[in-house]
Amino acid sequence: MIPDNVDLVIKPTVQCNAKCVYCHSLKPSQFLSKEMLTDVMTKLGRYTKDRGVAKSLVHWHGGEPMFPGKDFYDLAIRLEQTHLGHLELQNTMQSNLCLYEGEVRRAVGELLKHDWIGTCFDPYHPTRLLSNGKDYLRECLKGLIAAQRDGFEVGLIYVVHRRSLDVARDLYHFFVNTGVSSVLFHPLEDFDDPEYHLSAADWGEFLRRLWEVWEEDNFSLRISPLADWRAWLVDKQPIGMCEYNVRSRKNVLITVSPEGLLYPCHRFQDKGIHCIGNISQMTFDQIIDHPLTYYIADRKENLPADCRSCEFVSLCNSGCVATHDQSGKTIWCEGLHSFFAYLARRVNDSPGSSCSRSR
Amino acid sequence: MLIYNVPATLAHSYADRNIIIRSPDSETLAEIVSGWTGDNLHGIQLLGLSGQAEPLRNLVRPVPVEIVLHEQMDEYGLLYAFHDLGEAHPICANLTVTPGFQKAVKVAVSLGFAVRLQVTQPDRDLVEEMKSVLEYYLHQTTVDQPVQFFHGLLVALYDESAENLWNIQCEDPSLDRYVTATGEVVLSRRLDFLAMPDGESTFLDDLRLELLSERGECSTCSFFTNCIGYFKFPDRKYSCTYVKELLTILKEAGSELRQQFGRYEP
Repeated sequence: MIPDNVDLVIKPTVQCNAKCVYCHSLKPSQFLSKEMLTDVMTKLGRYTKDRGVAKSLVHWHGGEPMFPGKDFYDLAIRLEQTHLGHLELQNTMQSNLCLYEGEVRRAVGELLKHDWIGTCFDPYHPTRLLSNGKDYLRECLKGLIAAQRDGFEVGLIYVVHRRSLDVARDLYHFFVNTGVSSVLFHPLEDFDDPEYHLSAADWGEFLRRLWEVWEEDNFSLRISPLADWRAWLVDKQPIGMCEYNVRSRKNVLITVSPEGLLYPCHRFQDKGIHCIGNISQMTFDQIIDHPLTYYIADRKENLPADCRSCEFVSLCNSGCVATHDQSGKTIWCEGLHSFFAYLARRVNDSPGSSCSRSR
Repeated sequence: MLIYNVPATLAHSYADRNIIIRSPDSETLAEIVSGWTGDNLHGIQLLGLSGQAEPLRNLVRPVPVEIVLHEQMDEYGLLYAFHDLGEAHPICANLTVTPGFQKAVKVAVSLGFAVRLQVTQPDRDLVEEMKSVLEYYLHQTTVDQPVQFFHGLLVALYDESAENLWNIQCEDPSLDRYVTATGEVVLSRRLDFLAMPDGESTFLDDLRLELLSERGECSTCSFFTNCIGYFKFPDRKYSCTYVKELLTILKEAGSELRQQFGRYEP
């Protein structure tokens, strides 16, 4: 099977200039070597050219992807020009933006064509800290404003924890005021600190509170996953987020670790499971043919009986595969179910507000 | 492009820049305008109404005239003497928001002048008076000239654009400079303590950063996009509680207009 597109999440390092209290990625790490990066680009270029694949997206992730510095990204620019020129190619990055200055700013801007960059911060709780002792929020906002000034559309990931429930409303307005184009709210997993531990019920309750303020604001900010669910409910648009959709096997996504290890999702790289192999020992033909490349699609196509019979399965599709428990259901099931029930009531009770097209 | 608001005494020092020339003396202004050959003169400001209207009637070319009333409660009646100046030039009355200012607004509007309100940090009573003027601007059918900042902000809220008060009030650090009588370059007469050097300004970006990272009132305010802390000078601790009531009326008016016109969209 020839895919429509081959997208990569490249992690040049999992080292970081921050030390977020709940981070799963942070561990001693090498940088993706220039030889390894060359290998990735060369093999991707050869495969896509030979097989007639026209599109690709490269998402630079970490750790902090700006850590390797401007030489790394100048090389990436040259490699893409040499090997991927035949592709409709988009580069994006997820960064804390605290290093977005000087030559790195120039090189990253050039690679990403000042198109889209993602960042992350927590305005109200000390969950995100910088190793150098500086104020994370301030440094991140400084980078965010600089990126916007350079023409970037900036997206945001916010990690929801237990204490987020008290500030859902303020969070929403704060994020609007930063001028970000979108916010992805992501529930905190596997963090036992009672102050921050988020239960499934907490997650459902947070989503409900977020929906309320979002609706009051006429759904003006793009919020994931709420916007995905709303678009499905209103227009029956397919859900875009990989957690809640059924991934097509024609859309291949591969994560490359700093060691060149390949995974079907960066979440599995974090956990060190479902490794496909190493880029230095595989061709893209072998990667594309490898069964683990379709691990997520397999799981989504074979939902447990409980999920298949659930009235909300079309909204959830069993959630993020990396969050599945032994029964094959997401650990967030209870909270999602209660939120979807709330959403169903909102839609039925006031079709003119929750579920009608906004501007 | 920067536009410098300069006193008439310094006009020729800024002859190669884009300028607005100000003076309390209409004859001085008329003389400078008559002798000005460049296309870089963006307007004149007449400071107060002690001068005569006559010299400005006979200018060789139309030029935007802003009549700045610092002590308008003593002076606004004198605006009538300028009643026919609007036939020759676009006229704007620049009025400071002080108790009773709505009378001056109504006189200016009745004469067909645009109005720009100079406002710093109004207390509750002044905001109430501003609401009254806003009501007049929004619903009095004889008002056919913009009353700023109401007009600019209404358009921004109607369009849901990011146009902000700094720009609407001609205090945009990327456009506006005010040269004091001693030659110091600042942002505006209202904010004459804010030194503003030439070149690209990061003032609003820096202010956004400060206001967001300090997590104060502005950080979650629903008007921040269009305001960017405009009312936080000179006292950063000023509470916008009453100002937000005023802005809410404008927001609702913008929303109402959008819904009305939206009905006719294909």
